[in-house]
Amino acid sequence: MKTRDLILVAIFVSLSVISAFLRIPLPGLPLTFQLATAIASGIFLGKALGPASQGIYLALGLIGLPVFTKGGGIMYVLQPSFGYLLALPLSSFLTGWLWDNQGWKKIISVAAGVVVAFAIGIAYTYICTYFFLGNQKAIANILSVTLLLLFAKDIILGYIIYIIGSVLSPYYGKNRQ
Amino acid sequence: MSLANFVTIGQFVPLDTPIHRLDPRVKLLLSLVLLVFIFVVGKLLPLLALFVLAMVCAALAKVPLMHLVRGMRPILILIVLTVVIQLFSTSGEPLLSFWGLTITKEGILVSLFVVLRLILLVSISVILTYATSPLDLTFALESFMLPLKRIGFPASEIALMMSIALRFIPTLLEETDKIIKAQTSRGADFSSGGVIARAKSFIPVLIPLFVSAFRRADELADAMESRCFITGEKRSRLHVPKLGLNDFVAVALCVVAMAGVYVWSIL
Repeated sequence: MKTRDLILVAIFVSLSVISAFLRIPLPGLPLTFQLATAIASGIFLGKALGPASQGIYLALGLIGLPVFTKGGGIMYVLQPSFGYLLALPLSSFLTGWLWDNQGWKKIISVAAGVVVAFAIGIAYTYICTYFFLGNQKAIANILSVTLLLLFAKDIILGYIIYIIGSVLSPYYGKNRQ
Repeated sequence: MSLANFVTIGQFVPLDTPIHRLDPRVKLLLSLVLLVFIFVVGKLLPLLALFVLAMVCAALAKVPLMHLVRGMRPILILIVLTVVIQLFSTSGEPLLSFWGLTITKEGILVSLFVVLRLILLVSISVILTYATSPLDLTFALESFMLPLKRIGFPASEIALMMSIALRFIPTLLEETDKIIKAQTSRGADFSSGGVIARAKSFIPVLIPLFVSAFRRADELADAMESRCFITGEKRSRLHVPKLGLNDFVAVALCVVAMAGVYVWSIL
């Protein structure tokens, strides 16, 4: 591992921390940039170092450092929305693996990252509520439908990071030309 | 709106208390064991005893009560949901009933138990981060990962990355703040328009942020390599924490307390 790679991974960890706090002031649901940074880490660091940065980010949060949106700590795994965090390394990997500077491959790789985050996020929410609240299918269903609406949010993030990736990836990261 | 104002990285407060003085490895290991142990205790009263002990630790570490309460924020929804569900769905001796809903004695006990368990989980990690500096925590994590080095796991590199990441959070936050102000002064608008317009308005913030992050990485890599940094070499530390008598006493006390609570809960 080169020194520059090591530092880039570290810097993407801090970017992830910052993106958890960088929120768009929307009424109701706040929009944070965690997923965008995760996908960016895949684009710029590649399929090995990108997921590594996201894994380290999760590790920092889980040992108790307040790097997640509402603090940090091992109890975060009890949050129904923890699946979205858990999906970050996988999103990063998929995007990093598929990313190429050619037109349609860029769209596919970002879409793959977004869809994976959403799938894992919603599955976790469902299992979590089911597990905690016992056999309360109705509530779990309502919750899942609400979360489905949040998918729109993820698509916006994907769109933004697609633009940023297209602008910057010819100059930085693994796909430097 | 200044970003740095509402981001408080580091709940750590440097004090000189018995808990602060403990070795970070001991603290991290004990809290992990305790977190698992909470799920082993299956009765209300022993759990309450454990809670009292945790509060004694919090008092020893001089954690302000408000700080503990604020730590509960992430699990607030979970607490409310569980209480409501358990309160009305547990069958048993009815105490109170209205609108066709019945609160039972068992329901109250079960919801108390679940809430206490959640509060304990949070309290332990709040005490840990209050009394251990982030750098000490990464050091503790590194020492636990060291055995994995034999199978090729880059333990010390990961610890180094964590330290660099922690070091760069304030710097990059300041940078973000600066970029937001710079773009605002050029007429950027972050708080009007629809969802997509608002999200798009962050592109002129994120692109300079990524560019400056890459530039900083290059500069730091040059600085480190010109000081003979080589990845994968063995590193030395300025301060090496050593296990002292207080650490062994703490471990012994914890083991005794856990054994006591466990025996009580299976009696």
